[in-house]
Amino acid sequence: MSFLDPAIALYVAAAVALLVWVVLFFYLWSIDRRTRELHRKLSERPEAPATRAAQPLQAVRNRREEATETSRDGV
Amino acid sequence: MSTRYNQFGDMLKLLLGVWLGTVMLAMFLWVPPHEGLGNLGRIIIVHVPTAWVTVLAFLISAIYSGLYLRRRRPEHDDRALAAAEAGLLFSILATVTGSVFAKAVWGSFWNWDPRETSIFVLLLIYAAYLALRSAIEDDERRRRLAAVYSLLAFITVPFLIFVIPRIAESTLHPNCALLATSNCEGVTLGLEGSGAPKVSLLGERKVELLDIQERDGVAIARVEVTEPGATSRAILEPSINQRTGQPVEMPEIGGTRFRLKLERLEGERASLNIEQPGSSGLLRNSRTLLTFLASLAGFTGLFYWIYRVRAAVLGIQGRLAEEGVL
Repeated sequence: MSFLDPAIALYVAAAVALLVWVVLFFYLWSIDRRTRELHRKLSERPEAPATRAAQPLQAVRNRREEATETSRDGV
Repeated sequence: MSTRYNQFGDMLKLLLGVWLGTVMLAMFLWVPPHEGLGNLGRIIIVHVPTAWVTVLAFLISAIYSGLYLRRRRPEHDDRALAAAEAGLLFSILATVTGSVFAKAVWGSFWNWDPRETSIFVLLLIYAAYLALRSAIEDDERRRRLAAVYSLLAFITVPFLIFVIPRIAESTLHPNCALLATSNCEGVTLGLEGSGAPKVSLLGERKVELLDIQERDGVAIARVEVTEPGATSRAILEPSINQRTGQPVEMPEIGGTRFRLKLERLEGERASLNIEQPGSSGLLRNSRTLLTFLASLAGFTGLFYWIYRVRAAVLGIQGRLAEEGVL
């Protein structure tokens, strides 16, 4: 009896789909755990900032103006 | 508080694992075969939810891109990128499952049909988003330009997914677009003396009207169908309800999934066409509908999980880069 036999083909397809999902699930689960652990370790360091610094709009504008002036001087 | 939050999150993830596992089993073992498509109809349970998740992912990417432009927080950029990457992954899944379905039902993996072309353009647009990000070194500039691009890219999503495939006359689910030499209009045959030809071509097949009969308000056309190269002949009897104008019987042609349809009957003239199985009516069965909805919820949950994990990884990468570790 071949695994492509219509009588068992659906069971084979279901088993393959389930296997793919189980592997994917545990892969995602392990990445998730490791990421959380790494995030926790980074946050617990005494010198670590609470969050990544947002770039204030004014700072961005200042940088842009500086860059424009530098390019003008260069010309 | 944080531990309790993590435990709740773990429970939800385990629930998602069991949920999608059950959907996989139900898709093959609980959902009955579709009347017209047979076991191929099961693919809708994966194909449509992945397409739905694609739209959701690109929407989330656009929202966080807008938020980044407003507040300039790197976390928002991370989330926009994570959502776009997950969206691209799910759109590839939707394209592959659709292509497998097209091969099984219509005989070809790819036909540059409007639906296929529009998803291909969408894939290119979001692949270009990733290419744009990798081409700019300055962090702030990369985030700003990518956010603007993501917003502009999302404008195309409703058109490419919902509008263009529906305004095109022949799309992925037509009756005839994929049949060689078919003009989609079918043929009108007539008995002798009716003024219409008795023999003609329908696609590549020769069709000959032999007789028209009537039984209990149902008109039946006896048609001889000859396969290309005259390899085989069969007499088919498509029928139509004369009162409602609805087809009653649409026999399969030459062992394929194409069916011969009697579209109209006027006196001794019969209009015939070829009907292809499509996705219409797939969700009429309650088991299919229930599994489909469960799959929709499951894939949405899976997307959210992938998106959160990827955003967290990007956040860690960003922090380490700021500290000069990376």
